[in-house]
Formats: sequence, C-alpha cells, structure tokens
Amino acid sequence: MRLSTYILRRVAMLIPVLLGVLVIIFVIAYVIPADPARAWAGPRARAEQVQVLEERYHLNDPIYTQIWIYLKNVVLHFDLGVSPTTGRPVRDDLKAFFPATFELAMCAFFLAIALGIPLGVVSALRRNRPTDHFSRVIALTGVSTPLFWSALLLQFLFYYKLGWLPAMGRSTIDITRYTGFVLIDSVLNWNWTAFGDAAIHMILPAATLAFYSMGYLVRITRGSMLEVLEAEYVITAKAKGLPRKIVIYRHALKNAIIPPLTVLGVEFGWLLGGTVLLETIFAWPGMGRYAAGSIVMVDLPAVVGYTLVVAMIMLLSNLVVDILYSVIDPRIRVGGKRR
Amino acid sequence: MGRKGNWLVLGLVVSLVIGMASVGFGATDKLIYLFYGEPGEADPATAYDMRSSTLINNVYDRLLTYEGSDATKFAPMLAERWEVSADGKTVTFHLRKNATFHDGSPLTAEDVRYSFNRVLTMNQPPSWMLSQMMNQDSTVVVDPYTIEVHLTQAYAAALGVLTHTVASIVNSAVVEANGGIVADQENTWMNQNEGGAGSGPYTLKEWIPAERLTFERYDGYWGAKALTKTIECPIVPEVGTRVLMLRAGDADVHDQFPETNVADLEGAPNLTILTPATFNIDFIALGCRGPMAEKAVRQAVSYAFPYAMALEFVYNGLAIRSTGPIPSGMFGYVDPAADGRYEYNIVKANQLLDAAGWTWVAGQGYRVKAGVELGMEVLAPIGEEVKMQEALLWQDSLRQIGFNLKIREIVYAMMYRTVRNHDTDGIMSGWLPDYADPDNYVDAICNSGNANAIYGNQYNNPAMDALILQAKSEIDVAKRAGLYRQIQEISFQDAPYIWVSQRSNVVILNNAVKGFYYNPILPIDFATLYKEG
Repeated sequence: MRLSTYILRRVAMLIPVLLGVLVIIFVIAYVIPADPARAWAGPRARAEQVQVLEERYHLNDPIYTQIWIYLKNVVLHFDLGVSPTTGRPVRDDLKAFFPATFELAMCAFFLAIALGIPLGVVSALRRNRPTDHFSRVIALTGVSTPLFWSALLLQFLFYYKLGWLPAMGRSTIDITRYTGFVLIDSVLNWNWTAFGDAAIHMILPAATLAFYSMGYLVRITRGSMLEVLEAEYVITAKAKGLPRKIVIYRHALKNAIIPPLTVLGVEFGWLLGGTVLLETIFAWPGMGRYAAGSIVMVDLPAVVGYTLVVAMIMLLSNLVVDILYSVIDPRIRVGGKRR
Repeated sequence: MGRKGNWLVLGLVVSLVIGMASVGFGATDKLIYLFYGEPGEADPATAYDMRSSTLINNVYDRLLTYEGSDATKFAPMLAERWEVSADGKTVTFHLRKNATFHDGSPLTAEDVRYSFNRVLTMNQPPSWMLSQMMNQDSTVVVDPYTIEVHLTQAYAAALGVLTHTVASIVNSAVVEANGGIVADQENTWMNQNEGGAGSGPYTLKEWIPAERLTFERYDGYWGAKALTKTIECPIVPEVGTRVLMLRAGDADVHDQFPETNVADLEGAPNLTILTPATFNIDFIALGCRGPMAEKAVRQAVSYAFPYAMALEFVYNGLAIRSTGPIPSGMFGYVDPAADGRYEYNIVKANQLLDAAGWTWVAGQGYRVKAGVELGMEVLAPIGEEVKMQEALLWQDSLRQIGFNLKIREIVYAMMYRTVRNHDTDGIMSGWLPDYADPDNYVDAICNSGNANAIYGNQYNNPAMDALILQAKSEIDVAKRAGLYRQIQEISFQDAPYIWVSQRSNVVILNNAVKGFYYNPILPIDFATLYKEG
C-alpha cells in the first residue's frame, strides 16, 4: 500500500473512532445521577426556568435523539452548542482556550525531546559511570515527582525567591491575536518585546511539564540504546573499524529510536491532558481548566466538545508517529505483503 | 553573558516598560485586583454569581444603593430621591438628569422601564427577584426623568431588591443593536461585552476569558470620579499562586480569600488582612423525616453540635456564631437570650432523647425506638472543606448521644437531585443573600415550600408560613421587626436547622492601598480605591 493511501485510510478511520467517543460520553452523561439543568439554573430557579433549560438542551429526550441532534449540528453547522455555564458557544471557547494549551504542550514536548533523547543516549554510552548515574537520578526524579509539586516548587523558587520569572499568566503585553498562539502572534505583530514577554511566561509551565516527559524519555532511550549497542550488527560495525560516531548515530540510534518514538505519540496526548493542574497553578488560560470547570458543573456541551478535540489530537499524533516509523526505518512498510 | 543573562536582560526590559506605564504622582494609575475564578456573565439580567456581581456592580448603576458600609440605610444612585406610597405598593423614582451611559447618551426613565421589562422577558435565573413583585406593566414612565414602579403586591423588601445587580439599568439602544431581547433566552453578546451599555464609574475595557479583565475609568461619570484609572484583574484560580503574588507585591487587593489559607499570609509586612463579617450563614438542614421528624430529636442534635470548637478550629476563628435564619447586622436580627439559643450540652441532649423514649441498645453505641435506629445521613459537598470538617466534628459528638451520623460526600451538580428526591436526610449547607432583607432568608430557608425545594427539608409549620407571608408585606417597620422576632423564636423551638456560623470575608490589601470600605451585601467598590505610589 502506498503511504498516501495509508494516510487517507487512517484519517477516514478517525470518523468511527470519534463517533464511538461521542457515544461513550453521552452514555456516561446519561447514566450519572446528576441534575444538570438545576445545577446550571441555580438553587433558587423556578421549575419553569429549569424546564426551559431542559428543553433547550434536550435533556429529557432519549439518548439516541440527543446524539443525533448533536451530530446534526456539528456536521451541518460546525456548531458544538452553547455552554450553559459560560453562556458562550463552545466552539468559541475552545477556539480561545485551545491555542494556549497546544502552545504550552508543544513547547514542553520539544523541550523534553531536546533534553531527554541526548541524555538517554549519553547515559547508555557511559553505562554505570557518573554521567549515567546523574542522568538516571534526573530521570527518576522527573517521573516520580507529582506535577503540581514540581510546579509549586519551581514557582516558589524562580518567581518568589529569585524574582526571575513571572508567577502566572501568558503575557502582559497586548498584541493583535491572529492565531491565538502568543509566541507566533508576537512575531506576526513584529513585536519582540511581546515575544520576550510571552517566552518568559512560557518558561516555568513548559519546563515543569517537560520535566516529567523528559524523565520518561531518558529511561526509554537509555534502555533501547543499551539493547541495540549489544546487537550483532553494531558489534560488526565496530569490528570492521567504522568511526565511533557513525556506529552510534547511524547504526545504533536509528534503530534505538523506535521505542521512544512510540512513547512520544502517547506522551503528546498526555501533555495535553496533564496541563489541567499546571493551568490552574500558573493561571494559564487553557482548555484543561475549562474542561475541569465544566465537568464540575456537568456542562455537557463543553465536556463533549473538549473530549472530541483531545481525542482527535490523540489520534492525529499517533498517526504522525506511525508515518515517522517508515521514514526512519524503511524496513517498516505499512501493511506490506507477508513473505 | 550566558543564556541566563539574556533572560535577565529581557526581563529587565519588560519590567521597565511595564514600570514606566504605571508611574504616577501621589497615587498610581493602576491597581491589581485578583479574581479567583472567571465571572459567569457580564449581563445583569443573567448573571448570578459573586464574581459577575463584582464586574456588574462597577460597570452598571442601579436606581439606589446602600450608604457606605451600612447595609440598613439606602443611598441615592441614579435616582436622586424616591417616595413610597402609603400602601407600600407604588414607588416613585426621580432620576438625576446628568447621568450618561458609557457611549455618552443620556440615561432616561425609558431605559429604566426597558431594563426591568428585559429582565422579566428574558426569564433568566436571577429574574425571580423582580418577578416576585412586578410584571411588564409595573414600570410606568411619567416623564423622561420620573418613573413609577407599581408593585403587584406590597413587598417590604422592594427597595432592597432594586439594589441587586439584576436591577441594573442598561442602555436600551446598545442592547437593541446587539441582539435585543428574546423571551426565555440569554443575550450572548451582553454576556461577554459591555460596549457602552453601562453607566457606572468604570467601563469593561477588556475581558480575555480565563486570563484577565481590565476596567477603565469612565470620565463622564455623574458622581465622584473613580480614583484609579485602570483596575486590572488577572484570573488566578490557584490560591498558592495568589498568596505568592500578594506577598511579592504583584497584586494589590483580594477579597473572599479562603479562611483556611489566612495563615499563609500572616506576618507578611506589606499586607493588611481584614476580616469583616458577611451576611453569609452556614447551617445544617435536618430533613424532618424519619427520626428527625421528632422535634425532640432535632433539639437534641442541635445541643450536640460543638459550636465553639467549630468556630475556632474549622473557621480559624474567622466566623461568628449564627443563632437563627437572620444574620447579625441585618434588619430584623434578634440577639437571643441564653435560653433562646442552642449551646453545646451533651447532658441536655441525652435527657431530651431519654424523655422521647429513645433507649440505648445494651452494649451498642446507639439508641433505638420501636425498632428504628437513631441516626441520619448528611450530604457534604465535595470541595467545601469547611463543611466536611464541621460534619466530622458533629459526627464525633453525636456518638455520645447514641446517634449514628453517616456522612456522604457528593459533587455539587449531583446534590440538587439527591436533595430534592429526598434520597438523603440532611445537607451541610448555607445561604448567600441576594439582597439585605430578612425575607430573602426566612422565605427561602423556613417557608415550607422553598425549604423542601432547596434543601429537601420537609419542615412544615403553618404558623411559620403565615408569619413569613405577613412580614413580607408589613410596611410598619416596628411591627415587621416584631414578626421576625417571632419567626426566630419558632425556628429555635422547631429546630429544623442547626445554625452554625456567620462567615467573614477575608480581605487582603497591600499596605499602599487606601479607600477600601466593606458593605456586607455589596461587591467591592473599585471607585474609592487608590494606591499610594
């Protein structure tokens, strides 16, 4: 099968998966014994006001009708409904909050790769030497420290004690927001002060988020690298006198990178979800906070909208990883003929 | 210079730019007020939460307000003066002629009529306050600056209702240009924007959801101009972050700070902590069914609540004792005599249960009567630490009287259905007032219909209901106060609730901030605040 056909097929597969996600959320929302309309209207709302809300959100209709109406609005009008708690269309809310979360997750993601993979490689090459011990301690601390704890510690140190970095927020300088990604928008505005401001605000949350993923990556890369370094083809390469650099980077790393790559696909989805706590601590205006607030209020349209977006990103990032496999390792042929 | 050095230089440049913008003479141009969560809506007809009311109160005006920190005396706002007819059914308001909306257009009687009828037509959660006393025909324009409000029935708290954000006056032209009025629907534009619809001392310059709100002084304001040009309000949900910002001087004012975190700020040399009493009361609803249907049992469990311990350890000493449905400091409140309130008394509680025929089961830690075990289940909303701690204290104390209390933690959104369906016996709850009148409390808490609808409490005393109804329309102030005295006495005798506490509003001010005053019924007033620079 050709790569383009494969990609098309995978993209088409998104539809049934998203449909399944949608059904699951509706079923969960349907079976929990909550009273959403009452929660939205407040304790002193009159019965008829609650009824108006129930009718508007079709809460008394059978579950299949609810899903059908939702689907119809999404497909025909790209309308995700109006959030009863914020009073704004869910589409607008997600459009406002998604870039903040995505930007943070991307920064953390690349930071984790930039630090995690080299550290893992070095660690494997200098097995059981001080460098290895050091990087293993860092990795272990990273994976075992709860996110909120490292966030609070870093905030206390770099904001309160040292005064180097801001405590919260995304930026303090107003610029025209074209894309919602502040780093990109400040470049589009050609405003470097704003770019510096946004970058400074990004450091603490991104570093905290990257810390965990990095630890994980170091461990996986190290393990995979160690395995490959003992493989026969690497020994052969060494024996035939190839330069060390070529052996490590062209022969060993290229093969060892597959497991970390697999992890990265899942990790990106985790980064998107893991921002909920960070967004609260650093007052980051992202969609994690929005989702958490919506869940407490049984804000169905908002919860469904958020879940769909996250599911979609999760699926797409896994797709990207699958494609990367075949780019890095030509032996992996998607759906190739069996011998 | 290393990487760190580059960041330092960049940081320096940024802070210089920000610093230059805020330098002023005497008072600074900018003040930072912390929002702990996002306001729900900016539309007075729809908003019904504390954060929204802070926004609306500073951006919109009402016909009248309260005098400074006194929540018992009315003061003119858009209305220079008003007269109430002898039967209490008609109020005539005389509007000031120099009031303008933020777009510069004059505010007239027609806008008042439009605003009130808009609330009634939209029929959103807070609309009951107006619809309980007026309809579409109630507001009559006499001339451009005189308006009559004909109440559907005399309501002694009518003026109090009109100080609520729901009675804010909106610019009819701006609303009509942005979605107008649709029956039974909110106006999504008004939910997020102000755009000249208000006439208050500040305009809502910017609201970036989940990020910040910025208020800018309205220089055409009819009254005293606001003292600070810009009020910037970052939205910071995490209390730990707010603590650091206050301590570092990056935030100037914060109110409704959680009692449980006050210790984190004590000793900070740059901060002042104020703890004025609010009108918010905490109580435990005793469903009045099962064993709790018996008055003697309710009285016994009321004696078994460790009041002093709860105030000291649960509320950190930042609350005062509540003794009935009406809070201290409000019209109608009566400070009861020692025998007119419940104090912690296990002996008396046991005597009451003995007399009522509840006998200890030998070797077991509880009492029974006719095969029924003495006990109940109470709901504690998840996330409200104070309520859970109160319940645990009470549970511990109830063991001494052979009463088995089960505590069930529950998510806020699931609480209503559980309570309304009587799937539980009681609830750790409370009341936040809408307007400063005892009717707002007793009608919701003690009136049989509402007590059942809101708290699932099947308390039903026709004498109580009759008194509440009578007090609603009683115009004679002394007579009305007498009725509320009776209501409080019956609430003591019947014990349908355990009155626990009246909470404080913890206000944190940077020492350089001046001009703060506190009114227990009104949100913070930005206009009088300024920061010495």
